Amino acid sequence: MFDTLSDRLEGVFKRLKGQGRVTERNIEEALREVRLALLEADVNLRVVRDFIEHVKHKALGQEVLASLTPEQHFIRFVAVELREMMGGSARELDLKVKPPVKILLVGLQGSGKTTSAAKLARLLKEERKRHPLLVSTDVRRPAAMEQLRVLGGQIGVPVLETRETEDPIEIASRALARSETAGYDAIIFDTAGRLQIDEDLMDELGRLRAAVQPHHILLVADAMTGQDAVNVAQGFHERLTISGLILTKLDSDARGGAALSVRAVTGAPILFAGTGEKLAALEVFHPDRLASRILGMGDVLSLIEKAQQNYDQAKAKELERKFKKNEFTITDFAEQLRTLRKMGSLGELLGMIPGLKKIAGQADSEQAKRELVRIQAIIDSMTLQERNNHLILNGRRRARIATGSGTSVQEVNRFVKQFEQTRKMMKKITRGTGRGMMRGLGLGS
Amino acid sequence: MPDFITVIVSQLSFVDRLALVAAASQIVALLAAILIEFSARKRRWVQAPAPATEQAGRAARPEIVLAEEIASWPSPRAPSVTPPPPAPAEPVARPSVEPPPAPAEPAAAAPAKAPARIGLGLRRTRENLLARIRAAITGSAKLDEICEGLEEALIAADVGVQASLKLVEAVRARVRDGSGSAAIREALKDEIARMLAASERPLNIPAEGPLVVMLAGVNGAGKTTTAAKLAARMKAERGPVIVAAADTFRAAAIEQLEVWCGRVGADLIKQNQGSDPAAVAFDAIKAAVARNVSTVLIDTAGRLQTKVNLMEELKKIARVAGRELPGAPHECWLVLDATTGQNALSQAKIFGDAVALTGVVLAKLDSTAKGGVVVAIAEQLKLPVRFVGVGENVEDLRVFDAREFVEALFAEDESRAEVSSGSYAA
Repeated sequence: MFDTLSDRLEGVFKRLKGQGRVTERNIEEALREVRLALLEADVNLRVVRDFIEHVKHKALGQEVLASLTPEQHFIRFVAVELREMMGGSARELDLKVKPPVKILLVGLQGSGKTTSAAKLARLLKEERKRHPLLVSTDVRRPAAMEQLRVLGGQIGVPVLETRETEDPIEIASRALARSETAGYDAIIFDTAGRLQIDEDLMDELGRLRAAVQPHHILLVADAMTGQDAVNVAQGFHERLTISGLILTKLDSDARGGAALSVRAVTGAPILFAGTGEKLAALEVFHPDRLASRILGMGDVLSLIEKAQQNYDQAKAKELERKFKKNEFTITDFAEQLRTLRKMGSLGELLGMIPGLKKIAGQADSEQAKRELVRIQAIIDSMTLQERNNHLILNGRRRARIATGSGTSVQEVNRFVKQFEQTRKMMKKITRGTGRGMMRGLGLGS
Repeated sequence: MPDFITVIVSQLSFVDRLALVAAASQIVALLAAILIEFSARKRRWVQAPAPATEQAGRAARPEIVLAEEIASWPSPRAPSVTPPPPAPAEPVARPSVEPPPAPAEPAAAAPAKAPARIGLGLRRTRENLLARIRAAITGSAKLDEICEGLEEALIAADVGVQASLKLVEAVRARVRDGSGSAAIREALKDEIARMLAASERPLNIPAEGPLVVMLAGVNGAGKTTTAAKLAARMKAERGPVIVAAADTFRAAAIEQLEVWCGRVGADLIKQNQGSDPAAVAFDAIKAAVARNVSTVLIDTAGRLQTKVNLMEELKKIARVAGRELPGAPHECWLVLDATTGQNALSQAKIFGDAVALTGVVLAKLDSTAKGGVVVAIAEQLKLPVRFVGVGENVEDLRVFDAREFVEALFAEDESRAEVSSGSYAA
């Protein structure tokens, strides 16, 4: 839906090529594109303005202007500034306090507090060797307590017995007493979702904080939040002094500019990112990744993550070997096709690789989609023997496959030819020559 | 070996010169190769966090190297950078980072006076937007400046860059330099109302048999609460309601809906957690036909639009519903959190590709969020807003009306605001 920043900046700097030198005015133009990119990524308008001002001052003093590939330098420069603004490097949740570590999760309705509470508990238990206790103080949303109970059961973390008729403050005191006697060394308090302008409920949070004396108050924020993120963060921060953030639903295609807004308002580090529905899907937050995501620099890192989820090492090694030895069969091809489709549309995947946006659009065209369906049908109509050795595909076999898949012999021929070219190409690539690529691809004409 | 990726990418960029049909399998293979390479690479990073990346100069697409480089940067020298202090106040279009207007107001309106609530919800939306637009109009004289201010005001309301530009262009075409602020505001009001009204369409109510409404949306948008509110409203307007607990994924989602259905007096059709949601929808429609119930509400599990499998599941629910009762689901609404930014467009688009969306329910409009993204959705996807959610109680659901919405947004003073919000609520 959006052009990437690099595409746009390329345009800006291309226009300069004849002029030989980049002027201050051109920087303005480039910054305008950055501004648009940030706004489309939902970074708050005010934060964008401050950021642009900041970058401008810094950029003018730099050698950006003299660079031969100004757009690359410029993007990199902006990305670094963004990363710095989000706190530089990944930050750890500080657990070096007198146990139990008390963590309070707060946020708007539907931002993902209950799920994050369970994920955090799992992380503390599995990766930090803690013995956490989960506590729900949400007496408002129907079955919120039941939800936490179920999630606690799934990860094997005890959940304090609570009832919706209890007072949240009472629940909190009971939790503290329980951890004292039972020896839990971490307590995670889930709270009811609330608007930062709801006086009564914000008061309740204030009282909860006084009763619990938490070491960490984490604001749980939805990565898809728009311009209002600053108001929300401000509201919670003023009342409670937020000490950190959990950014949820980062597995969406949201650019996540809200994180920048929240960070700018609270100054608190973004500690974790929620990246999936599974309870293990809570990761330490990496500002650099989000910086490139906000700038729409192609999401190579997400692609890497997807790749890692879908290919185990043994499988990957085996395929690489097959590519090299020219043993890649139609069976393997079909499996690749299936794996890729599971990960998303081809266009979506290509779109994550910088510079391939143009193909990405094409790959999702109706025509291309139909072609893939046709290929799948052709493969499905082959016998196992044919798939493992395409050389046996004689005229009769091809005619049968065409009938079976509802295609024509010409289409089957085309696929087989394509497949052969693919094989050659893969062999060449894995050999790493890089030369004669066009010939190897058979696409030169 | 960054070389490898570079080679593959250069291959891929050759492909774009050809008809893609001729190269589909090449793309599949190349993509697979990239992913295989990547899956290995990540592990290498884990072992050795900062491999020295080679010079970018030679690479055909240096961004890739850049992205990798970024990923492998060592810890920065300065541990933390405090964000720059806010720029000095400008008259033009500042998003309100001041505490929300009139802190006494929410408290005063808190007692459950239903009609006042929508007023409150809208007033916040309006005050923010209006204050900024007013500042934009009075703060500067030239049309260009006014337009720029308007554009920013709209962007700050989550209307989005594209829709904002379009709106402002339309306004610019209608007013001359030197037009009064009132004229400009009227013009903008007209444009927004027109944009919203252009996507309005009546409900698709079947001539006979139950009306089947499916609710879909991302996690935490407010589907279950909306389902409960809708059940109460539909029951009052159309008679008995069956709610299908087709969120069989989230822990305690069924229990949550059970509590709500008990409160509003709707029948609940459920199965166990983890069962097939399409089967639940099937049961509900069957029960509705057998019991002659007039409305079926299908509450589905939250799903991010990027999850291909889950979108397929959604398609299946709709398909199964349509098989059991031709035409069902008659209405399919995307439940949208009003605080959502530009990602709402992606949601509307991708959910719309999966199932035939017929509308949007804008939940949580009682927040400080502006909900302006519905304007962008109406503009780009022609999806009407059906209802707005303005609170946590069952009665906090209002029919959306484009003209009234805009009138309330732009109402000039409190008295007019009361009138318009009153008529809005009616």
